[in-house]
Amino acid sequence: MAPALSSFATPLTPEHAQQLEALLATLSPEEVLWVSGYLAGMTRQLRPAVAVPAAVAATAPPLTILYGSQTGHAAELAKHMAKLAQQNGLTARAVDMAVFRPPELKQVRHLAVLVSTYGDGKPPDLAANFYEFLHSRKAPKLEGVKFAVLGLGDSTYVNFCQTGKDFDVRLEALGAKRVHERAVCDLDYRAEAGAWIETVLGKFAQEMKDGAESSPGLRISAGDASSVLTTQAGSELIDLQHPFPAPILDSIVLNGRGSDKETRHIELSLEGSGLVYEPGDSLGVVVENDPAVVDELIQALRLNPEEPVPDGTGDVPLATALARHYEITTITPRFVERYAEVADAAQLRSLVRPEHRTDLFAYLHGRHIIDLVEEFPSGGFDGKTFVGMLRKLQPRLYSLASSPAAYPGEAHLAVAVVRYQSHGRMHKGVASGYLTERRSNDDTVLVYRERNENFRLPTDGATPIIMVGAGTGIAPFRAFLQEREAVGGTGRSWLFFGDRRFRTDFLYQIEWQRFLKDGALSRMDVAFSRDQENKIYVQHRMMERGKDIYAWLENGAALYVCGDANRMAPDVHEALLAIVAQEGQMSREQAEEYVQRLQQEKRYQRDVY
Amino acid sequence: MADATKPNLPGGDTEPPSENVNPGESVKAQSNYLRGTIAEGLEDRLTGANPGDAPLLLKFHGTYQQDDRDLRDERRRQKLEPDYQFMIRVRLPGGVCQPAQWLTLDELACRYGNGTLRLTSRQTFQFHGIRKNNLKRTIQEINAALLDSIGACGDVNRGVLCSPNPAQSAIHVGLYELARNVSEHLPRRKTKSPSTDAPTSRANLRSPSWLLPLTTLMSTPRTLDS
Repeated sequence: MAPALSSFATPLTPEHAQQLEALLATLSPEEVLWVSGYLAGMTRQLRPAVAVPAAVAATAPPLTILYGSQTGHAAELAKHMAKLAQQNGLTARAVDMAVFRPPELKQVRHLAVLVSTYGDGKPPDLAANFYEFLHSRKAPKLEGVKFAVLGLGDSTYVNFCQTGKDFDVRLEALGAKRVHERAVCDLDYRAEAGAWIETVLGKFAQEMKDGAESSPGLRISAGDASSVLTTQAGSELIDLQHPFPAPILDSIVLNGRGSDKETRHIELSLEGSGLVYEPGDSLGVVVENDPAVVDELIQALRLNPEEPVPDGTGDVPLATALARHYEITTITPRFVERYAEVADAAQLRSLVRPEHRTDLFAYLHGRHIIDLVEEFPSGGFDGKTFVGMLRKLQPRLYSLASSPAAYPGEAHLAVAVVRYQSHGRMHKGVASGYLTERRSNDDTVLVYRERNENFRLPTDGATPIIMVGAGTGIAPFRAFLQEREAVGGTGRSWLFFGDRRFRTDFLYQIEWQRFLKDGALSRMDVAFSRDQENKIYVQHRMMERGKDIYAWLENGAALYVCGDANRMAPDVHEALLAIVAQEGQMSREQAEEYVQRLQQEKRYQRDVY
Repeated sequence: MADATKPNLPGGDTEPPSENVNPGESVKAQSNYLRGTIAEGLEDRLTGANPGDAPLLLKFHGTYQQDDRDLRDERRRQKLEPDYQFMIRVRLPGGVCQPAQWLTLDELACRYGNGTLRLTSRQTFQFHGIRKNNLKRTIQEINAALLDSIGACGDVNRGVLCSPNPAQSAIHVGLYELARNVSEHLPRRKTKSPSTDAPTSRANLRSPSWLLPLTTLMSTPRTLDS
């Protein structure tokens, strides 16, 4: 039941509001629908008269917001920025680097670049083309262009936000002028990105309205970028701000006895959530830290667990903040810097100097914050100072291992349990520990859907697909095959899987055997690295099958790769180039172009982490 | 309906198999001299079993396909197939074996098997826990020691027993000779063993010099005749 018109502010006079309300009360739902369509048609003709100071916007070239995104964050921010700009009277458009035609760059006068960094400092797949173009000799001189860059990344990587930095530096080198400093955002980017967007739009607004009536002190009204998620077109009720408490239906170990790995298959119920996902999506899981580690930290730093500290919205006891709101395991360089100051640790201070970067990362390897704190103890802390050094606790993403068509109302995940001994202590992964040790059957876990539009089955179910996955990278392919089987896709499919040992680590073995028997899977090749003297990985199997792989690609197959970003994905990429070059009898450059074309046609998609 | 008691004479019988005959018989008949799909099955990397009719045929090569029964349920819940493994039984007429051969078998049991070597009431050795990808290799190395596993399993004569103690009886040697001849006469005729790449004809295998002549134990040495 809609609230009464008079109960909220409208541009109508009270009499008009009353009249409209009276009319609406007499109409049937069908009639209301018709009237709304009628009015919509009318406004289309009225639009020119209703235009906002378009005089200004019409003369200035639009603000082009170029984004390079892999899992959608940069894309989301860019679209939010464009919308905000429009709302404030600026013409703006958000464009994916993957579709932006490089020659158009010559027409751009106001440019914002929002780009993520991947793996070891590389641009996202779909942005690679544009990135290379901009860094090549073909890039145009950009004198007279105003720009600003925002980079997204993860500061636990050595080449943090490298792509963002590269764009910033290059644009300046080409002659363009910065309107604002570049932003380098970590995983907890929303607040910082929101503020940067507001400031930058303000600066661009001034640039674009130069010459026309300038409005000094033009303020862009927004909110921070966290409001973006709830206003998506076709928005779902469940999102990061409103996750769904999903009960755990089952939690099974997938490795055989004697394995040195532990992979869990976890089934969650989404009944009653209204949450619908597609194969290729990930599930975001809101996690909590290990209470034992929280205690250890509090003890080590001699903090007061009750001390009220900020959690982003209000104040909570320190112990709660450390359990639920902050990352307390992986160390970031930023943390080391700040800790070194307060703890007055000369050794650490030296380690964070730019020239000791490699040493810093060598030190950080295999260590968690507790290790550092115990090695350099300090009494100079209070809870507030300490949390000020920490990143916000991020939800963890897991590629969904099921298809809603096969398992309606359920979400399955394949979780690799991270557990290792180093520096005299057992270290555990936050999410894997949370899901496997601190939650069991019937407990609920807060989840939401994280869309991945860049990892999708072909819309035509007859298209052949080649899937390459190692370890838990196999998960989305389980979803793909379940989907194809349920929906009746006729296209051939080929799966490459790699792990350590055949006897204990062949994840979901009997399911693949069944898919093969029933025809949903046409071919499968496996590589078990520790079953023989020399390590055999999926890329070696691919090379053995090069001829057939190339034939499939020539027949229109789509190739998917899922797994580790650091080693597996680059190795598989190399193998692909080698196969194309050899079987297609091409040079390396031609093979690269071939593969780029596959990417553009959405026939080479990667979900790597 | 054919008389089930009438013997099938080798080389001469052209009657179709009777319906009363065990289905395994037609498997054997169509197996291209007991090769069947064994070779392809060995190449299949997706399963530790040799699927189809291969397990039946493999028996004639002296090996049983098994799985660890205690782990069956656990592995099913882990979405893994049964823990398939192979047992190999050596053909050892009269239980006679050279010390060096025993040592080789011991080494193979540790390298490819589950670390045990069993002596059974069949008067011979058995290995357990051989993985499919090592099956061929293990049999080849057994053959290299001038032993084999031919016909050691299956519905054939699997072995010939003979009382082992030469110190006790003067006719032991003659009996051993008889046991050996019976054992070598009975295994199925074939031209090539599919489980190795080399013909089983032992004329192609040269006696390693470390093999003690059997004259010290019995009068007739174990000769390398075809």
